This record gives sequence, structure tokens and C-alpha cells, in this order.
Amino acid sequence: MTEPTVRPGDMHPLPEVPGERPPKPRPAPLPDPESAEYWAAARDGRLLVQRCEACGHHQLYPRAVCVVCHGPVSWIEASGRATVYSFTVIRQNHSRPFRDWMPYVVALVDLEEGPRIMTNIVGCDPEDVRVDMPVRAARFDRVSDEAGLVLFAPEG
Amino acid sequence: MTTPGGGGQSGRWFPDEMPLPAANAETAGWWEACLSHRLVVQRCRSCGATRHPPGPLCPDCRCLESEWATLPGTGTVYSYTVVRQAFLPSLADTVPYVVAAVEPDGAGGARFVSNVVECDPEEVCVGMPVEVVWEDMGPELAVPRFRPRGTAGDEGATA
Amino acid sequence: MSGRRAVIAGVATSDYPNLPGMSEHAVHAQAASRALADAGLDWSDVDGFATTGFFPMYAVGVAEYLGLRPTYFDETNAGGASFEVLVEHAAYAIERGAAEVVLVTYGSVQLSQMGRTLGTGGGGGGGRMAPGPAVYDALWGNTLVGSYALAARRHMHEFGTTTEQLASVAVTMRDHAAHNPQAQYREPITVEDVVSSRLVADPLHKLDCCVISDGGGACVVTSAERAADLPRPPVYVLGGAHATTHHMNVSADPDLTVTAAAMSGPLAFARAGITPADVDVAQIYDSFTITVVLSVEDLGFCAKGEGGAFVADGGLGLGGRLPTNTDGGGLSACHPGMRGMFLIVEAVRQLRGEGGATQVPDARIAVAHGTGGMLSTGATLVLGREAP
Ligand SMILES: [Zn+2]
Ligand SMILES: [Zn+2]
Repeated sequence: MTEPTVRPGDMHPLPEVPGERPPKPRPAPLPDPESAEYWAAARDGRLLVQRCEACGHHQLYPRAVCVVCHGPVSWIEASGRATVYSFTVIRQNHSRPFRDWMPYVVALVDLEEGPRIMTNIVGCDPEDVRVDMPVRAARFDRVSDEAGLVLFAPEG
Repeated sequence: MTTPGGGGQSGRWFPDEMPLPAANAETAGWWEACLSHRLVVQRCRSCGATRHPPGPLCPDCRCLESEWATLPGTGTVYSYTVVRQAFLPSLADTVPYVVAAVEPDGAGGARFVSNVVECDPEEVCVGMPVEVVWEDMGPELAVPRFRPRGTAGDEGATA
Repeated sequence: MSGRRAVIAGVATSDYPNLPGMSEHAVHAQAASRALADAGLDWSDVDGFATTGFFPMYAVGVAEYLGLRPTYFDETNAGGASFEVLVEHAAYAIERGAAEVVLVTYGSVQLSQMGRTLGTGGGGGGGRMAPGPAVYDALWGNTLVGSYALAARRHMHEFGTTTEQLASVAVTMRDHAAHNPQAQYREPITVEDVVSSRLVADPLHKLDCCVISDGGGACVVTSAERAADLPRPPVYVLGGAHATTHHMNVSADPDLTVTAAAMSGPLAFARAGITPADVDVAQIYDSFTITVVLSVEDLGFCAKGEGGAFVADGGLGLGGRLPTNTDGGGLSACHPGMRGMFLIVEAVRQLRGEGGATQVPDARIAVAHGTGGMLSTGATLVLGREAP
């Protein structure tokens, strides 16, 4: 289909309405040397996780060293499978574009590899999200030339 | 009552890109006096100590009551520097200019940081007698700057 | 340390909760003047100064404004927990002999300056976010309320805590605020009022969130010797500790149901030589109802997971197991952004027997516990009426 079915909380880019202020895009991260590869991978539809070359610990957000043993780290691609650790449905946020998407889900998800990241849960009614629910990396939204954001949806 | 200071100055001395000062409830009295070209200093009603910048609390006795004392508009340069590097591109044509700490007469030792204008920066010196010159920056804002004052007879003891 | 003991010799709050005519700095000045008067000390006695705010070198700037030239100063920023940390540090300085009289002040006019939508903005504007650790949780439209909501949700999931239990915290605080003529809200509310108020970020409702106020406070820390001939009964700083688990990224907190209080509380109690059972009255940071539930568990007033039942059974009320926030707290009385100073002022008033209608009879030991950031920091102060 050309136009996705837009449901509340799906956080799709807002259409421009003639005669009104143009909608604000989602904020984009400015990459730095530690994060550039992570954001670029998400732009290209891949979710990366750092793995410690010394102790094998997996971590996000990206850092220059392992947070456990402070050894060197390198990138691996994550499976995209995760479970919801906690979530909230945001019903008050005066900042654009988020105020136009309310209600929407902000969640902490635990990746199969271990790291916990913040994200949005899309592709379902916000009321249907549950703690411990299996989710997968379902959408990679390009937010700039250098960066994409990974959004999650219920598994299956 | 004579008009304090040396009269007005039209046009912007700094380029338009220079940020304008904003007043709040504590400093409004000072800026309102400026608007009518009156150079004032805040004076404690309790102990008479003067202070600048304006604030609600006397730093000497911590009294909260204060008044605005009108100054004659003359003073001396306490210290100064000549700014030679433009920190905004638009200041390229303004440098070199003088930023000075001026001790206004009658201000009880309070000092105003301002500019010394209408003279060669190389001629400014510590102890130089100056007088206020007003720059009207808009219908709601006037800013005091200072220029060399008077004749050789005025310049008694420069440090 | 050796013989010198740190005491709080004077406390005060500024006017609150709505100060449209005052600058932030003027609030510091008013609170400081009152606290020094309460202590029977003069500005010229002050050789140490501590405060914190949202700009670097903030304490130095406020010292200039107040006409102080202190030889001890501190602006450690732990968000809402800052003032417990600043008083702990001040006590060390007094006990070490590095200062004689430390003035600690707080001032804010966030209500007048920013209004009532504070805490529910964020991540907007369509701009580019500067790199650095704070960006990773900032991209998803989360809010400050949302971060606490994530903790509340997880606590409900793990321990069966209910929204009604959370709501009971707000109800008790409002009961206490009814006796505080300065409180921002004083009309009684019910659990039903809280759970039927608008959801801001599930599961937190509007009435689960603190009020937004202007205001400030101050306290004067000195030595027991110096306080001996001062007018007010001294309140001893028996012990203090602080800890942090994460900063802006709640994703970096391994367990959202356990806060830094689980570290700072036991440390502070051990340093004070007390147990939670010895505490007569508590002032606990109540940015949100969940903040209090997590804190009473982590400080050891009940077991982990039992905080919901503790607060719903009247545990925080007058006559309850732990009378808490006897001034009405941040949920009803006043919350100017970093409320930690109010906790100390009210704890001292209780220990002096100045609590009025909400005085806890014969209160001898009080705890002030601050929480800052996104449940990021915790700082516990144990205060006592008697010398240790
Ligand atoms: Zn490692
Ligand atoms: Zn005075």
C-alpha cells in the first residue's frame, strides 16, 4: 500500500497541511565518533550492539570502553528480538511533534543480547502493550542523512 | 536641576547584532532612569551604602529597602581595556574600542562597566575624567556610555 | 571525627508558592535573611556558603549577589537531592574545622518563569540533539513524568502495587497540607479524586504529580559549640550519605524499582548509629507518588515490594508508622523544582517542636531524604534533637 494506516500512537511523519505551519520532524541525534556507526546502521535498517572484546559483555548506549571491565568494544548486529521491561503511555507533552501523536508509548525494552534501550512501541493500540510482552525491531525511521531510529512492535 | 551628563547620542554605537540588555523587576528602576537620561545608583535606605548592579539586598547591611540616587553624570575611569579582537564578525569595524570600569562621582565607590567613546582608545587612561553620554537604542532603552570630560583644568590628579 | 559536632542552628522558608514579583536571587536573599535571624546570627558571621542551580558557578554567583565572600563554598548538584548533600558536606566542613558558619540557600521562581507544563515537555522541536550520553533516551518523546511512570509501571508489575495505593500518598500529603496556611493546595482529596484525575503518563495521573511552585528556603550549619549561646535549640546532623545510579538515561538503571536510597539510606543510618525503627518523623522527596513508595522501601521502613501497602495503610499519616511530609510535601504544599531544602527545614521544625497542628509528639530523630533527576540520585540526612 502507498499510505500506511495511521493509528493513534504510530508516530508516522505528519502530513503537511496547506496554509498551516509545517509539521516538525522527529528530533534527530547528531552523531559523534562513538555513536556514528550506531545511528548510521539504524538509518540502514540494522540494530547494532556493542560487544566487549575482553569479557564479552553486550552494551548500549555506545561507549568508548566496556562498562563492566573497561576493555575495548566492537559492533555486532542484534537479532531485533526484545521484551518490554516497562512502558508508559504519554498523554501530555506540549512539544511538537510528539503532542500531535498522543497518546503514544514510550518503552524500555530488553534486547535478547542483554542491553536495555528506550524506544517507542508502534503497530498496536497503546492499551494493548504489556510488561514482558515480546517485541521486535519493526521500523527504522530515517531522521537525518546520518541517523535512523529503531521502533519496536509486538512480535508476530 | 541641570541636565546630567553630556547630552544625547543618536544612532547605534555598537552594531545591531550586539545583544540588548533586558531588565527585570530588580533592575527596572535603573533602566527607567536611563530612559530619561538620568544616571542613578541604588542606595540603601538603611545604611546609605551604594551598589551596582542593582539588586534587592544591600550587600553591607542586607536591608531590603533602597532608593535611586541621581548622580551628576561625571566620573573617572577606574580601569579599562582596549578590545582589539572582534568577538562578533559585525564588530570588525568597531574595534578597537574601550571597555571601562567607571567610578561615577557621587556613587559612593560603586562602579559601572561601560564604554569610553568619542576619543582615540590610545588616549584613555586610569583616572581620566569622563562624563556620561546617552545612547537611545529604542523607545524603551537608553544606555549610558562615557566620553572624556572637560578641559585640562579639570584633569587634576590622574593616578 | 573529633569533638566538633555539626548542628543546624537556624532554618527558614521564603514566601511561597507564587512569587511573580521576585527574582530567583531575591528568593535566596529572603530565605537567607530569615534563616540567619532564626539562628540569631549575622551575615558577618557567615564564612561558608552553599547552594545549587542550573548554571555552572551558580553558588559563586549567588554569593556575589548576597555580598558574601566565603572561604568555603559548594554547589554539588544532585537535582532534588542537592540540599541534603550540601548540608552533609557542610557538616563535614564544620567538623573538620574548615568553616564556622555555613549558610545553605535555595531559591526558584519556576512557576512564574516557566508555568505549569514543566515536566511534560521534552524531545520536541524537531531539532538536532547534541551528541553525548543524554541523547539516547531523549529521542522518544519521553517526559520527566514519563520516566517516573516507567518506574511505577515496573513496580506495579513486580509487586502488584496498585494505582489506588500510589494515590493514597497524594491523599495523605493533602491531609497534611490542610494544616499549612502557605500550602499551594489545601482542600481535601480522596483516592478516587486522584485515580480519576487526568492521566499524564500511564500509570501516573495529574494528582500523582507534584505541584509547580515558586519558593525557597535556607538553613545555617555551625558547630555545637558555636550554637551553645544561640537562641534556638540546635539540631544535630547525626549522619548523611548520598548515591547515584544513573543520570538522564533511565535505560541505564538496571532496576527501576530500586533507587539510590537503597545505598544512601543504610549508609546514613550506620553513620548516625540508628536503625529505621528509631526514626520518629520523615521528610521524603515526593516529586511523584511513586517516589515516596520507592523511598520508604529503599530506606528500610518496609520490605521491598511492600511500599504500596505501607502507604495505603496510613503509614505516612500523623499517628502512622512513619509520619511523613508534615508540611504537605511537594504533592500539595510547594515544589519549586529542587525541593530538598524544604525537607530539611520541616525536619528541623519538627525536632524543635514547632510543627503546629502536624507536630509529631516528642520527635527526637528525623530523616530528610531527597531524590533527584530521573530517580537518578538519593541523599539521606539523619537529624536529631540530642547530641549523639
Ligand atoms: Zn568487558
Ligand atoms: Zn545597607
